[in-house]
Amino acid sequence: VKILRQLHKWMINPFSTVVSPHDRLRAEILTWLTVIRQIVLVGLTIYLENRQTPNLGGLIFADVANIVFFGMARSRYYKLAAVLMIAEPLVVISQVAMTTLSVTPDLQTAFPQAMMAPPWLVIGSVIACLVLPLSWALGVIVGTVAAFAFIYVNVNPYYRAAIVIEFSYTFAISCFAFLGAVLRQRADQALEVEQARVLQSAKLASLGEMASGVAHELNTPLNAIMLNVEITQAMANDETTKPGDFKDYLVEVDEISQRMARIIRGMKEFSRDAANSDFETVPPRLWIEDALRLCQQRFRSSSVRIELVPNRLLSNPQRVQPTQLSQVVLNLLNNAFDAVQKYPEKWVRIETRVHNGFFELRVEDSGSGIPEDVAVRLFQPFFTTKDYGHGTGLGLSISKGIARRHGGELFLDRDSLNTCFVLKLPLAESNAPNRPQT
Amino acid sequence: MNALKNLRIWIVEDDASLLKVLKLALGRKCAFVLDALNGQQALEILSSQTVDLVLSDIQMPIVDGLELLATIRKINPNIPVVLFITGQAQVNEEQSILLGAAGLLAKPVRLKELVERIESLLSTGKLTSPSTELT
Repeated sequence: VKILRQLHKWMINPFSTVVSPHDRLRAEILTWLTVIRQIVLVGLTIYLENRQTPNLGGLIFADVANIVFFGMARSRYYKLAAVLMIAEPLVVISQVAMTTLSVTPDLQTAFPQAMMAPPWLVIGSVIACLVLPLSWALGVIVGTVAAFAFIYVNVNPYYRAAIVIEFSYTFAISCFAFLGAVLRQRADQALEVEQARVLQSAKLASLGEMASGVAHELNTPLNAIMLNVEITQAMANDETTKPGDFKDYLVEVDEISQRMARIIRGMKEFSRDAANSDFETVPPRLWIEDALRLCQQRFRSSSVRIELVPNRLLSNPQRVQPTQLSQVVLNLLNNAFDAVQKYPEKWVRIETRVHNGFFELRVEDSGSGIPEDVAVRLFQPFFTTKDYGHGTGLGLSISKGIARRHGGELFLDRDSLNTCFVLKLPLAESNAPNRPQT
Repeated sequence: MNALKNLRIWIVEDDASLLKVLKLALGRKCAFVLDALNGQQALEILSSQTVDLVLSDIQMPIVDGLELLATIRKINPNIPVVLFITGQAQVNEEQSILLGAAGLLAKPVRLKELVERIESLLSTGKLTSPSTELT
């Protein structure tokens, strides 16, 4: 059992990034089927070859290719997986030729027949991979059927039995993979709808957290306007007042009203359902400042210093969904705000830079980092270290999803001395995806 | 209205626009209006100024209105402090009464309302004029 567990760990862990239980189950079943298949094949080959050494190199390659394929097929590297899928039957065919030779040492019949298969296997697989959706699964089916037809013309009954087992298996897993891909596509669609709903409620929850700060933020300038108006009313009743005397008060009221309008616009933008909002070409300053405006008062009131480090990058337009990115920044700022409360020095700094061809927004706070046991779970949905009722546990996982939909990433910079989250986005205007990327 | 003429009022408010207009509005009615952008700034000049009444925002950076109130209470319990409140009024009210605030005014506050509150403090004897030394 221990050995099996260890084997399981080696085979599954490298690909355990997929969180969907459905995918994980599929991967595990496929991997174990591969193992069983290989054991049966080794035994059969030894039996057929009269206990001579089997073609172990080919078997091991095919096995590794299989495992790597199923790992990659579940990720964004599915195209690479398809290439491997083409390579795998080639190896099996060479193996078939060798095995046929060992059973019936007749070069004239076995070798040419074995060698005839690869071209149309490859052609079939390539066409399937290029033309059809879910190409990796269909590619295997086409390849398998082709190989099956080729093998059937072989005369040795033992050998035919071995090949029937081999390719029935491959056909079965191909169908299984195909079914899995279809199910996954459906699950992804359902998940998208659910994510949009969760995104909206998490946004409203974070708005709720800021409500009192925003009330203060609006009440104060409103008060200033009211007092300016009262003064001008008093002046209007005073006969000695000249028309020009009003000017300063009116300018003041105008400036304050504009400030209020900006706050209200920020809230309105933020609260509307932006899950399907369009990509716009705007400078990062816009969505960063929208978020800043919403939480500035909260920071000021609690004496948490907040700084947006000036950088020309802030004015370089990018093709993004600004409201969604505002939410990412707001989530990071809200988290930083809560985190620094326990430290004597309270500050949050927002910096921008270009790193490895990506635009990076770094939100650093005076905290001293995040413990490893918390850090590994940070981006899991519903994980929160905040008190009950103070956090949804969705902020970071939603933010990561938003970053990925922009072709970027959100992560914790573990090399930073202070706690620092990094939002990475593609630099060029044109690389916003037309459809969401996963 | 005449009673206000000799008063020295101290306004502590972190919003520059509101502070400016409050100073301007009260400056037309009172003898002298001091201003500070936060509690910390107010405390720094606390020892050097004489004042009759403090009007302070409750939500401010560095030193908030409640901390300022507590410090003033320790230094001179006779100076009335009126706090401007927003949001969680219930909590603020309880805390400020415990700390001895002379009154609470919910933002947005009208000039008329503010003047009436100051006059009522004067009539009830909670506020005396002319100015008392803070220290």
